Amino acid sequence: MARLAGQVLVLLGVSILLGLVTNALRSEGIDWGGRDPERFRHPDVEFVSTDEAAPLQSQSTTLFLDARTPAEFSAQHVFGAVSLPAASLDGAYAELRDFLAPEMELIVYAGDTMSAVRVAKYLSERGYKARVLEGGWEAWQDERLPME
Amino acid sequence: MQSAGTDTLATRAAAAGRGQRVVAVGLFLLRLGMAAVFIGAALPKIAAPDLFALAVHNYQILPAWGVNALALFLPWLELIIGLCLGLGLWSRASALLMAGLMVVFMIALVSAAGRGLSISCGCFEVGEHAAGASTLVWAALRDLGFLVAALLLVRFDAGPSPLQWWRRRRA
Repeated sequence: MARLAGQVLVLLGVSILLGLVTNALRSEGIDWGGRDPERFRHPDVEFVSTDEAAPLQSQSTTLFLDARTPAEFSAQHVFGAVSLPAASLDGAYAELRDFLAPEMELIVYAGDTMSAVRVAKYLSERGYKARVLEGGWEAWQDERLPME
Repeated sequence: MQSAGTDTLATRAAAAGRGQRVVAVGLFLLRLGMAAVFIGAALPKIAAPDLFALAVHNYQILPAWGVNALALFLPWLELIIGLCLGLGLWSRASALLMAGLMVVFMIALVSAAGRGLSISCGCFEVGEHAAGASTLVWAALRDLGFLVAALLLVRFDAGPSPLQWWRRRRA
């Protein structure tokens, strides 16, 4: 039993060591003790807080994009937002492309950060200025900001 | 009469031997299968720790300071468990760790589904699109199957390592 416990501890120790060493050797390693994981992991994606995003909602140059599923969008979404589902990005973008302009400020949100980041990167690669809403849809709801 | 009785015993012994062999082969294949699953699950996460960290973050269970640390360590643990199971080295300890991981994963998945989170599982791929609660529950059920497999591998000897097998052949 003690031998088994010893082996378990060795395996755990080796895993931690390998994780730290390989991350240190990696050119784009991540901050293992980071306190702000979303921003750190995506230095190429800009984030915007709900406090900063809320006043932009009334501006005609700002457009909120909902990266959740169409069903989730239909149920409720940020006031004035347009659906651009991360799961069917190419098709949705093709339909929306004519309504987007490079000078517009796009704010992407989703139920999870990963989907919003993917959509924001997709748009940035096509020349748009896209930022990700920190905390996503949940943060917007928690702040009781305008929804429809 | 005695001869018939001896024959019956011999037949039963042979059948039992065959049964044991079938179980042994089954456990050996289970060990290899679990090894493949764990190695397959670990590699994409090792390749993209930033995306895996996001997947961990999206579960909203760990504090911010624990997310990146876990994202760096967990994939390597999965890989080591997979390699140890595949090579038959410290199989029981590896299976024990595998069982522990499955319990943790199931709690995380069920908790996320219960909170209505629409997130990607982060189980075998990173960067995939978000899944609904039902997908997370199915992933938890799959992990339950893996937990049973892990407990079988902890309880029973799942065959020799390649080194032991080679030594036996030479002996």
